[in-house]
Amino acid sequence: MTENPPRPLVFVLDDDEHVRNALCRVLRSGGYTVQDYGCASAFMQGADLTSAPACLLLDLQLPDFSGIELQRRLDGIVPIVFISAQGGMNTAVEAMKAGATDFLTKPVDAAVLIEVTAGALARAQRLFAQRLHRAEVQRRIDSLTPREREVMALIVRGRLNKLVADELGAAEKTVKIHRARVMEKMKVTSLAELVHLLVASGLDMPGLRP
Amino acid sequence: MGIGMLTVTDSMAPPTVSALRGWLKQMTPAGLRYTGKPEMRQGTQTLSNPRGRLAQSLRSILEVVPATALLLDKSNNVIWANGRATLVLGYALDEMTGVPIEAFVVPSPRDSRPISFAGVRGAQSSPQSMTWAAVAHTKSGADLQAQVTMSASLPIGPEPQVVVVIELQNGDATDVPAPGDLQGIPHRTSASELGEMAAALGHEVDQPLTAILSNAQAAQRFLAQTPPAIGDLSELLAEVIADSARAHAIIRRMRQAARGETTGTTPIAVGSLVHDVIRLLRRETQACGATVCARIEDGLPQLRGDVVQLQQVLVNLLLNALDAVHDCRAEHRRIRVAVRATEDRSKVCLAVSDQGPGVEGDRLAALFTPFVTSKPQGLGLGLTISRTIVMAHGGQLWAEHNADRGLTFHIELPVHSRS
Repeated sequence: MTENPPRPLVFVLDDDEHVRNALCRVLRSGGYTVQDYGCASAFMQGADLTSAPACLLLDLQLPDFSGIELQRRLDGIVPIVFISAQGGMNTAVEAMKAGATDFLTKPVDAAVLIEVTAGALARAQRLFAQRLHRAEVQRRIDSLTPREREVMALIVRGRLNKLVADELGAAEKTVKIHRARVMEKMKVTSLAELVHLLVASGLDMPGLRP
Repeated sequence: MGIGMLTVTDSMAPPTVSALRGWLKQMTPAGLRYTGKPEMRQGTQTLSNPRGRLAQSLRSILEVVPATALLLDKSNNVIWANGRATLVLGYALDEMTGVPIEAFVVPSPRDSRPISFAGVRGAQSSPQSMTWAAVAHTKSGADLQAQVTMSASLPIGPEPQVVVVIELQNGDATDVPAPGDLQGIPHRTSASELGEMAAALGHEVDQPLTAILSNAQAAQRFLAQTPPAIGDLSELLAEVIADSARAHAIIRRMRQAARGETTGTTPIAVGSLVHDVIRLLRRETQACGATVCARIEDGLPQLRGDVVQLQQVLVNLLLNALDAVHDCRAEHRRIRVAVRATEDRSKVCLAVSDQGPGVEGDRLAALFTPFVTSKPQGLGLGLTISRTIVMAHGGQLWAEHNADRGLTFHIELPVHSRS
């Protein structure tokens, strides 16, 4: 499932040009690929947030949006590290509650910036892998026929073939065939593996959760 | 008119208001202090006698004015005087009340116009103010050269009143500067006001310091690589130098304000002045849900003047514009600042345009009259002061109606100052 993952990206969003340039240089010196934006609307329009693992270094005071507002709009797609000029504790608490990965105060030490970015990118990698995995599982589910989906929903609840047959009003032999097709299409060899696959994908499957 | 006040709106976040207020106080020549919201605002419509309350609040405002101020009734008798008036004139308050104003102030031989205390209340519908050269009599028998400004009439209180402000001309420690005097502005600052201002400006200093530190550390890291990566270094160093100058300028400004100095006459780049002020007011702009966009012509000639005072004028105009659009629909909450030079490049013109509701045609001139305001929380002195500052720079400040909606305030400043 993990073919060559695309190169991770760090987005830097700060309206002060010199601060932005300097932060980008520090990150490039740490070997990261950086894309920078001077305002939130340019970022929202221009940044590709989903094709690669990415995190965002976000200045709390932007000319067009507050950082917190942008964080709300991004809804956890990318991990966010806030950078603030004034160490407003209230804002920090608010940001962390809303899921910010970290909160740095200007001026930022290069070593700290790189360490925190590495942490945020690690989280981004996990999010990205999870997204890929979910998409893959979704593709497999989409390849099932409606009947096969019904069968899968029952067997992952632990129903034996006979009970599934009773419930669906079909012959046990037919259910067995459906069951084999589900295992094949979902690319698993055991019921335990199928359940694990579905749970790990985080997809909402009828019958998976009681 | 050595008195003045900049309006700080209550729609801002409290810490910003207090920081800004502290900052503006620093910058306001002989600033008339804003001591609290006029009570009318708090009880909205529930006060039984809001006019009486406002008259009361006028007194509390005049009490803290660092100028000599008296209130007259309609027969031109003194009905009240502030603490400074009792100090300067040497009379106790009850020695002055009920006494005709002429007992304290007579025309100066230098001014041929008769002082007419009645004249200022001639046209009640359009309040006006007049200034005379005069002589003030003190209780000790001394005659002080003064400038007397009468403003009629605050449309508050059960009866119209006249505010008389006496400015002593020279030699007195309690003097306030004459209009046009950029130096020697009296200064009073409490430690907490300094703290507020330091916080506001300290925030500004963080930016260049952040850039400097990050750039220097990035350079170290680039140089530590094998082979050293030096591609971007000269650009990096240029930014470090520029940011160090930027931090320096902010700290200098902070120090000057803390000492109560004005910056004196220095060369001014209008473009960066405008950008600075827009950045300084970014949070107020955001809180109002408005946008401020600046169109600044390239290659503007430099001005000479007091950068702190001109900054104050722009802060005032922008805060007014934000106030004007505050209750407008989103598409009208737009403020434009345009800066250009005249064709012969002898003047620089700044225009601050809002899309607010504007004012009625004949109210345009009254905008600059002291104590005339449309804002419940305003004192009506911001524009008066702004105009005084602009005029002290040899320039002009006026307002015009926009073709579509809102007002534009124009400032024209000569490229070569008088000095």
